[in-house]
Amino acid sequence: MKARSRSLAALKFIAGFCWWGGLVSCGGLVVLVVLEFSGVDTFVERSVQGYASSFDTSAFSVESKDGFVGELELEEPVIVRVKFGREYWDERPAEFPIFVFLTLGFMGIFLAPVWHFRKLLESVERGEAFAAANAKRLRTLGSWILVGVFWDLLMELIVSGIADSALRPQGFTLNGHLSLNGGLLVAGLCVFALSEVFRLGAKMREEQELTI
Amino acid sequence: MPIRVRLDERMKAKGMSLTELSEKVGLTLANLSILKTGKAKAVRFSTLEAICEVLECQPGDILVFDEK
Repeated sequence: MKARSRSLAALKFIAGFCWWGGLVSCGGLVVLVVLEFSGVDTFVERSVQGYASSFDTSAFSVESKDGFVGELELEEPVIVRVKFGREYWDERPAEFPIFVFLTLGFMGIFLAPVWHFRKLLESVERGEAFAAANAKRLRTLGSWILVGVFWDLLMELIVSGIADSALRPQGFTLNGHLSLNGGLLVAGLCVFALSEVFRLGAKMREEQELTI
Repeated sequence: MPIRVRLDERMKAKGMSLTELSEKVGLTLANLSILKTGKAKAVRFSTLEAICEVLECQPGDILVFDEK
């Protein structure tokens, strides 16, 4: 009994940390966006991110301390970030709002399931785990996780598309990149399955309570 | 629900109030009210036995299958 309450306390702490940490990060991001839009030079380093492959590794070399020459292989695609000065970005005013939209969207997609998770933990703490509201919460949680998976995909697509069209690489190629986050996808589906378990549990609890 | 609880009629026949029945059967007034209003999902044999004993009747006198 004591171990269970400890694990619940740990989960609540993690969820609370993610929630407040996420809110503070969101607030910080909004402040940075406002500063950037009002022309203040913030410490944020702007870069173009892309997915690179077909590296010309002839310029690279590696050898062991006793002189054995090794062959270098890169696990492609490699994430590359190209940094440009302020003038570059001043000429591309449309790209910063895209970055802001994607990042705020990502934060929102991160915070929404955390909020539902916190509410779920609160009801479990009150001893009302198997309730119809919790089944709904889990369904919403699962939906947000799946939205996150596809948002991630969209971000990759946009980011790699911008890099592909805006940069002329030498010694490697930039290409569009799409990869589905399988782990997160399975997690989302598992939460959906769990919501069905909770729905059934809520029904059984109601029947139990209405058995005279 | 096709199963109807006819607790009212038996109580009237015995001239017993809901409070009195709840005390004799050992159920809370709230639970007996759930049973009487037909909101109950199931009835335990022990509950049915106690009600039948107090109201001096058969289970079929309390529970009826109503097709309508």
